[in-house]
Amino acid sequence: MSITAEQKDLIKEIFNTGVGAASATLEEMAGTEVLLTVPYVDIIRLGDLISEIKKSEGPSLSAITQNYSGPFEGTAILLYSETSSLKLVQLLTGTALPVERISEFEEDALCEVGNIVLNACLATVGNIFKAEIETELPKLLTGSAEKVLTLNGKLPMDRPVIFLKMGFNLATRELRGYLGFILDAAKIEELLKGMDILRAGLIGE
Amino acid sequence: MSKLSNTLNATSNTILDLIAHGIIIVTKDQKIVTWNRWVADHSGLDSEKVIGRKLGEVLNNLNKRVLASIDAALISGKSTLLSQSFNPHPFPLYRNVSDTKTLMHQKVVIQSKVLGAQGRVCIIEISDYSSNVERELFISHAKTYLDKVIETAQDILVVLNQQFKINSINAVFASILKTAHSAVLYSDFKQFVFDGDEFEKFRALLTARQETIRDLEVTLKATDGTKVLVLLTCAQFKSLEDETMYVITGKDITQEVESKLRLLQSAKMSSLGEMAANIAHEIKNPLAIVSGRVGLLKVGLKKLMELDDKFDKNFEIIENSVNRISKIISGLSALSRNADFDIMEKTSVSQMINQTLALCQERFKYHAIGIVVNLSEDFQLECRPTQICQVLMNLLSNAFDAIEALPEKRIVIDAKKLSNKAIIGIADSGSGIPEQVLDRLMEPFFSTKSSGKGTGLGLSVSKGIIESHGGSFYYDKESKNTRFVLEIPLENAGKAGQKNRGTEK
Repeated sequence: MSITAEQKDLIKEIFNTGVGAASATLEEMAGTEVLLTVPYVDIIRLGDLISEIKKSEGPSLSAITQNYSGPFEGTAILLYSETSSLKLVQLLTGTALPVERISEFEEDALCEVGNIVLNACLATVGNIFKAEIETELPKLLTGSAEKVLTLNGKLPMDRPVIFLKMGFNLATRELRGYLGFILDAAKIEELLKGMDILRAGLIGE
Repeated sequence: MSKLSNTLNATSNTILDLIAHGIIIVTKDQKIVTWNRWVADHSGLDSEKVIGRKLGEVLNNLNKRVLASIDAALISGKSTLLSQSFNPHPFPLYRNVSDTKTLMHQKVVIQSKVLGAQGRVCIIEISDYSSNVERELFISHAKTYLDKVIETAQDILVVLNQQFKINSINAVFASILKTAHSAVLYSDFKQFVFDGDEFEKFRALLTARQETIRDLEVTLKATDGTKVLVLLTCAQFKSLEDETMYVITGKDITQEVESKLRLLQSAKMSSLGEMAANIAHEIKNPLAIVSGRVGLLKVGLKKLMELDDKFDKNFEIIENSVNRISKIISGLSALSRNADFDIMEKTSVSQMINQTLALCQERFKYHAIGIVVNLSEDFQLECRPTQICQVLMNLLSNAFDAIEALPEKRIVIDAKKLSNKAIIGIADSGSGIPEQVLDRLMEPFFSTKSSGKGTGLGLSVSKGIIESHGGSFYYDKESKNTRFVLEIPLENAGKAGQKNRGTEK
C-alpha cells in the first residue's frame, strides 16, 4: 500500500488543523505557548514502524491509546519516548519529576494531553468527511516499542498504519511525539479514496 | 423524558446509588436524567430536586472545558478525561454546602452512549482525588527533603545495593570522581575502585560483617584515571524488600596522604645522605693513610734498589686506584648531599655526564655493559649540577638493574639543545616498561625490583628535582627500549635566588 505526495499533503493539512485546535486547549491548561506541528506523514507496516521507533526513541516508550469508531474504526496512538513523556508532563504541570516511576498524577496528565490531541485530530477528520468519529477513553501503555505499538500483542505486524511525526513546542522546549492511526488495509483505501474525492472537490475538478 | 427514566429503571438507580463516585447522566438537550447518591451528598442537592432540569442551571459555574466536553460527547460521541494534574477544573458541587470545603481535586470522565431509540446520553463520572493528591504531595515533599539532605552533606556519601551498584550518590562524591551523579546511578561501584582485588576484598569485608566498619582506606579511581584515596565508614541496613543496603560515608584523604609520604621521603633521603656522608668520612682517613704510606714506600724502595719498569708500573696502578677511590668518595659525598638549596649555576652538560659516569663506569665495565654518549656539541645548562648528577646516577643505576641479566647490555645517553631547552635522554637496551606499571612509575615507594634492591624512591625524587628546575621528567613511550627524558630550560636564572630564600616548596 502506498500513498501519493498529494495525499500526504492533504493528510498533513488535515492533521495540522486538528493539532492546531488541540494546541489552543493545551495552551490554556499549561499557561504557556504551545505549538504543535505535523511535519511528516506516511503509511507503513506496523513491524517496520516498530523498528524505526525503536531506533530513534530508545527502549522505553509511553503511549496514549484511544479506540475510535464511526466511518473509520481503529486505534489512535500518541507516542513518546519515556524521557520525552516525562519532560512533557514536567513542563505542563511545572513539577519536578521522580526519577524512577511515573505517578498516577503524571499518568493522568499524559492521558489528558493524549485525549485532547487525539480527540481534536479525529474531530477534524470527521468534519472533513462530514461524519462523526466516536472515541473511547484514553489509556496509558508503557514499555518497549513492540509492546506498545502492537497494543500489548493484540495487533499483527503486517497491519498498515498511517503514521505522523508530531512536534511539540512548549515554552521554548522542543519535544517529539508520534501520532499513529492503526486502521485495517481496506479502511485505509477508503480513507485515501475519500481524500482524493475531497481534493478533487477542492480544486473544482 | 419519562421514557428515558423508565429505560434507566429502578434497579439501575439502586446500583448507581451504591457506587463510590458521582454519576450524572444528561440527555441530548443537557437535561439531567440520573443524579446518584454520591453527587447528591457532595452537592447538597437531592436527585428529586434536579431530575429534568438542565445541568447548567443546577451547576451554574461549569468550566468551559467541561461544557465543551459534554457537547462533544453528545454531538459526536467523544470521550474526555479531565484530571486534576493541571489547573483544577472546577465542577463545583459544594455550592450549596459549607463554603469552606470545596472539592478541589476531582477526576472527571465524560462519555456518551446511544441508548435505545432515545438517542445519545452523556455520562459524567466524578471521582474525588483529594486524598491521592495529598499523598502525592507528601511523597514529593519527602523525596525533595531527602534529596536536599543528600546534596548538602559535605562528606562523601554513597548508598550501594546488595549487588554493589550505586543507588544514591551525593554531589561531593560525584565531583571527587569527576562525574555527574546522574551518570553513575545504578552503575557498578567496582569501576571506581582502582584495584580489582581491593574491590573484592572490600566487598567481602562488607558482606561478611553486619556491624559498622570504620576508617577503611580505599583507593578509588576517578573517571579520568587519577587516583583518589578515601577514608570510609560503612554501615548497612535492610530495605523493605529485605535487601541489604550499604550506606558509605567518608572523606577524601589523597592530599593528606601525599604530604605525609613526601615528609617520609625527605626524612629517608636525609638519613641516607647522612649515612653516605658518614661512610665517606670514615673511608677518607684510612685512604689518606694508604696514599701517604704508598708514597713513602715508593721513595724508600727507590733508595734501596734499582726499580725496574714493572715496579714503577705497579706503584702507578696503586696511586691511580687510590685517586679513584678518593674521587668516588668525593662524588659520593656530593651525590648524597641535599642540594635543594644550591645556587643555580651554568654548567657544562658533558661535564655533568662525565662526572656521573666517573663514579660508576668501572662497575658497568665489569658487567660488560656498554655506555654510549651522544653529545654532538657540548652546551651550558643553568642548574644545580649536583642534583642533575643525582638524577643521572639514579637513571643509570636503574638501567643497570634492568639490563644486568639481559643478553644485550647497552646504555645510551643523548643530550641536545632544542629551542630553549636541554633534552637529555637515558635509554637502556631493555624492552621498555610494561603498560600496567607505567602510570605508577613516578610514585614514591613504588618499585618493581625485588625486595632489598632499590628503595623505589629514585624516580619520584628525580621527578621532583627536574620539576624544581622548571623542567619535565618523563618516560618516553615512543622508544622501543626503556628511555627516560629530562627536559630542562637552559636558563633558570629566575629560580636561582628563590631556593636560597626558601620560598620554593
